[in-house]
Amino acid sequence: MRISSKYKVHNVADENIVLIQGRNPGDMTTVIALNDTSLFLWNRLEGRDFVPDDVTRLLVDNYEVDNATASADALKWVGMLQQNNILEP
Amino acid sequence: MNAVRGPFLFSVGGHAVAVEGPESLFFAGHPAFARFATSGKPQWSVRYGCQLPPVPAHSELLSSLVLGETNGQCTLHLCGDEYIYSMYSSDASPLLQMRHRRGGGKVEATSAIDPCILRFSLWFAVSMLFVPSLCCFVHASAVVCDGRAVLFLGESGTGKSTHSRLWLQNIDDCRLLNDDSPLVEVCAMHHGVQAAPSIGLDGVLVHGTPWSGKTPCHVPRSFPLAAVVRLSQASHNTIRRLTVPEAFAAIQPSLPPALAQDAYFSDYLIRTASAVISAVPVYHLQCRPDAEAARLCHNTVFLSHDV
Repeated sequence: MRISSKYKVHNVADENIVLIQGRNPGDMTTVIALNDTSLFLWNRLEGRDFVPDDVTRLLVDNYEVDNATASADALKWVGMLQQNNILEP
Repeated sequence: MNAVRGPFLFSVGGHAVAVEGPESLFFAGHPAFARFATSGKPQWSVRYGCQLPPVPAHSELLSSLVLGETNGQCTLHLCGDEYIYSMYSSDASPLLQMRHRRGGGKVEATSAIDPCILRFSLWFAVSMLFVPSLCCFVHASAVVCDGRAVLFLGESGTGKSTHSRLWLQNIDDCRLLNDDSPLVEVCAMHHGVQAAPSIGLDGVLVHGTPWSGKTPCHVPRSFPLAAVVRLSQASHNTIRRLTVPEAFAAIQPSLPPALAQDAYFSDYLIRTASAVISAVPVYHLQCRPDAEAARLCHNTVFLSHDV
């Protein structure tokens, strides 16, 4: 999987926002706010293919977190991207 | 001897635009635009009466939207660094085409006769010209109270105009600035950006414009922005200040939709929205169409201590 190149993180009033534009006027626009950890993962993984284990490894290597917690957090982060159709297969 | 029609110059918030070509006479004689007439030196130009070729087949389609209430269509294409905006009637016959080179100061357009098409085309041309200066139209109704502007956002039919009218009826010292398409500008003092010529005010400004929907409210004045309020209809009156992501989601749908689909223009629109959110509170007002809603909103904006 990879983060679709269509999406960028924008700094909006000092917060990190991903804008998912509705294609048609009636479609909802979704706004996702990334916290610091989420932004870190995005910046490290955008532009390349990755699997959930890569996310786990980044969390373990850069944050004081055990494997099990990191693995669960990694799945949550990937799930958030999938739910918002941000990932390409 | 045929007289050469000179350009019609008009100015919105200190930005002077020259409308050239045969259609300049239409705008010069239109009461809404005449109020914004200027003799200053124009920074921008929109030239009608141009011969423009068909949209190249290899152009990238950025946006395709329904044209007003006519069931016609507007498309925005990008060919290299040139934007091509095309308007079609419901039977797909071409109505007008405009071209604008990214970063340039002019728009070229074919001719049209229909006044609605001409007014809308100039609105879109001005949008393309102004957005990179962090100055954009917002689909909103704008009132001015105590020298500051408040924008009411919401989808068509939500009650923006109704809410503005309730302010005018129930709040002292309140005037309507625009009822459909005011211009919001981030001025030079913010974010180190060289914005449009200063008119003596800084921060985020709201300018009256010649485009005001069905309400003839064309006020050539500018005011600092006090707050943005997104409206939705409810059986109760409740107002809540929005977080930054919520505020952005509230504002973004009210920015020019065709331009929001293009990465270059969208970047400037997002920067404009960001400056607005940094400068003023953004609220969500769930409300009935009554005086209490107007008073709740007014008191929250002007009497609470939100900064």
